[in-house]
Amino acid sequence: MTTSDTANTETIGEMMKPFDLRTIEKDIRNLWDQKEDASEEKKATSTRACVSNLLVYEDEEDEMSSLAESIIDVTQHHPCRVIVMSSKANALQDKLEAGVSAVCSYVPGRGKQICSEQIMVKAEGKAVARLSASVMPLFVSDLPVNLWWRGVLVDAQPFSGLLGCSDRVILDSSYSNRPTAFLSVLASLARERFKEVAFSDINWSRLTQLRSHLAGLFDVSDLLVYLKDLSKVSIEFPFSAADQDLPAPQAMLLTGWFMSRLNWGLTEDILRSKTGATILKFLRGEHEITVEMTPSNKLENQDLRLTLTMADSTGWQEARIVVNRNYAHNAIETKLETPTICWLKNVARYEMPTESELILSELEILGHDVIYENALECAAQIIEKM
Amino acid sequence: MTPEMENPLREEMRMERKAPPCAVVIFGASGDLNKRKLTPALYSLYQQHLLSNGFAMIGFTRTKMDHQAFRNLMTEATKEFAEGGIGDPAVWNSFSEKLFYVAGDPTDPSAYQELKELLSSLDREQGTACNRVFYLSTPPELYAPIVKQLGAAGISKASTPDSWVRIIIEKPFGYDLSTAIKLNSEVASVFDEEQVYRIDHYLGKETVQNILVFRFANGIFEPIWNRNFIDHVQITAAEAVGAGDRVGYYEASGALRDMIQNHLMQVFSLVAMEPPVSLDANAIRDEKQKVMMAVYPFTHDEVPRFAVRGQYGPGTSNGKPVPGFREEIKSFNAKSKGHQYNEESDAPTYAMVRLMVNNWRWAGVPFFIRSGKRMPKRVSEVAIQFKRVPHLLFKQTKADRIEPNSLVIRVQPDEGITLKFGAKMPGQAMHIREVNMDFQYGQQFGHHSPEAYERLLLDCMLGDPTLFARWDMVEKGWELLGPVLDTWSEERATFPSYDAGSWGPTEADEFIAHGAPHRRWRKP
Repeated sequence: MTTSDTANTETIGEMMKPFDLRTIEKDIRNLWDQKEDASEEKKATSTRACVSNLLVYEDEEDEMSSLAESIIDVTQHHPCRVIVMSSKANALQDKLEAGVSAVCSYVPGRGKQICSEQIMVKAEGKAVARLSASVMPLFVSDLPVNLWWRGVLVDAQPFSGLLGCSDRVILDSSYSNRPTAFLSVLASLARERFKEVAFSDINWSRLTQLRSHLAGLFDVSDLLVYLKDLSKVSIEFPFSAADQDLPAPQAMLLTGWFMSRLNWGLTEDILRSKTGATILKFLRGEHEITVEMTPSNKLENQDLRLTLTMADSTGWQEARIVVNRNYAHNAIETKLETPTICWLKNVARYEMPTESELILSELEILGHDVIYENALECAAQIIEKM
Repeated sequence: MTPEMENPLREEMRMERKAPPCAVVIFGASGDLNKRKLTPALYSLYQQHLLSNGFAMIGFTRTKMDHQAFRNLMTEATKEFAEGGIGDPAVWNSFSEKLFYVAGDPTDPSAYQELKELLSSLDREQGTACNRVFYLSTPPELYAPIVKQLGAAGISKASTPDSWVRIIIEKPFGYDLSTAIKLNSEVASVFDEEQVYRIDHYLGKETVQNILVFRFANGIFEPIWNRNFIDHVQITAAEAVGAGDRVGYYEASGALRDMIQNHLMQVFSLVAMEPPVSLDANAIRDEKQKVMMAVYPFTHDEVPRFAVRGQYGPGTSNGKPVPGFREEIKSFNAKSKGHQYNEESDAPTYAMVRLMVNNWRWAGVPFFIRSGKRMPKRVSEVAIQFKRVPHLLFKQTKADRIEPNSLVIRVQPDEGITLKFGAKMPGQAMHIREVNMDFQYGQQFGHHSPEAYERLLLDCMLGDPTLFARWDMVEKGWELLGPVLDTWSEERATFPSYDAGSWGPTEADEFIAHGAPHRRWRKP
């Protein structure tokens, strides 16, 4: 048995053993018995809690330690049974192993520990095909099953098997080698499996603060009136070697969001400029809207610059909004130019959410995130026409 | 219709509700409530990105100081009272730049001209969009003068078609029915009812809001939520502390005014109301008001059959000897050079009322509501006591000693819900033991529940009055409890009637068991 203790968390664990359901269940029972016996003080203050099953799949061995930290952060706020899976299909030996542990976190101000169970399952060789079927009996019954997928998405085991037993699949489209093209795959999966499973993309969640900021501007009725006159949206994103022929996935998702929320129809008019910008034309009634997505060498990491231009039917510019997500300055800067709004510039603090914060925000959603799924569907429609 | 409902980009479950631009003016800004609760709540909203870019807060008190001195005062207060202090200094600095100050006498018209000019300049410079929230966090005697001056200064109404002006009024809203009516008519002469937000911080508590979810989002409880299954309901708000330095306030108000007329009546109405037709603020408040209208209005002569009062004498609290209420007054008077309070005060530090709801759902089911100071511990809860099983199957196990099921909604501390039921003890014999099925917010959600004031301030800025008291309900509350207040003020009591550190007077124990010996007060 191994024990590690940090300021706010404690992990108690067993070594990996050949996979056997009865052994796993026995080890879980032993784990709690040991915890109960640990000390009278801990006995009185430890609580075993579980609100869902969280399946985590990671296929990079090097990522395991950072994943472990993220899981601790997640279970602190979302106590659940965690089943961590990894696989190595090209291994020479066929092997399926499991080990159990508990992650306990102190609840600030309450003097109590909340403990989540964790089962680690490793599959190698042909055993990879058995992975999803093997972990299914380990689910706590009557609780939702969330799959946090950190691997490459392939239409094969273990993904297809795990997909079939999950209520929600959470993944990160930026992990893909061709992240924008991947949106089409994701949209098609979401469409096909709509009745059984909900999809979440944490790359979309990274946009939440920026979108919230932008939406907040239109809560002011003085500005809301300009929204119908929106004539041009410019999105600048950092240049990336991946997907050079397509705009960045966040730019595509933002465009999909505008398209679905503002009821734009996509025209066949798609242009590529010499600078690498993609120019799309949309129609809302007879009103034309241009979206320009441009890669920029000046922007870095999670920077994103969004410019909305509102013009009346004569083309006279009535308002211009620039929202700039500046990662280095931890800021979202907003500039406004309108005839009636007095204030011109505002800087709000922006903190890039961690992976565990993003996962937690997805775990809070019950059922489908319709806004995301609509934005994804629209983004996929655009990609298909490009 | 609120702007959020029209904004197609806002409609989304994952985007937190964010306040529109506005200026919040806090009267009594140097007082305890602002320092302990309001500024920390606004700062917490700011940290969570729930305030608009166009936000500003103006403190208004008599004390002469400039904007910077006020910011310094709020910095110290937030360091001391906000849960995480000021956190990142850069974030606090950007928030504190949004704090402004006006010094003035609340009855002086010129101070309101200065306030008006500052508000206009903030509209231009901070983008507060002509939206205002006035928060009355002053002694209640200043409510009417402030309201009058706001009206006279021409800042009580929206200045543009799309802007709004709201006023939050702290409790107590009146001292009795007649003073509440008078205050309301003074407020109504300046503000329309939809502009008035009568705050009751109990309604901002997560568990109180959860009563609605618990009842109406779960199919298994509502069918048994009636006279056929429920024997009685106990609503308790107990405090371990005594009146302490607040003897003056408490001597004048007492437990009935301090807790029951406002907080606990609100909780009662949530427990007893019929399902609303929607989650619209008025749909919920209409149902709450309907159940208040159904409460049997007892007369002066009937008060002893419906209410019990008490006052603590010396006793023990937290392992230490503590003085009684009258001793606390004596000791306060001895130290005070100013006003002296009645050392033979009959102010009830414990009050209990029995409400009978005359409708199909609740006929014959008593609601016992109690509140007291210097009780064994601080706890607020709603306990639904179900009826006993109709047939005692397990006679050899002394089943008559088996407690009936109870469902307890704990409001504070350790917010959660517990269902108590009987279970067979392992072994050859048929022994039954009571066990609890427990849900605790802290354990299941891990989240920190937002402070009640955070939720309520945000609701007001968003124009959602669901969790605020509407005038008709405040009026009905005073009307129902008026006979008790009158009778208790006319008749001398034999006090003290319970020891500090106990669960209240024996009269209350006798009262609850009268005619129903199986009923007794919970000792939570």
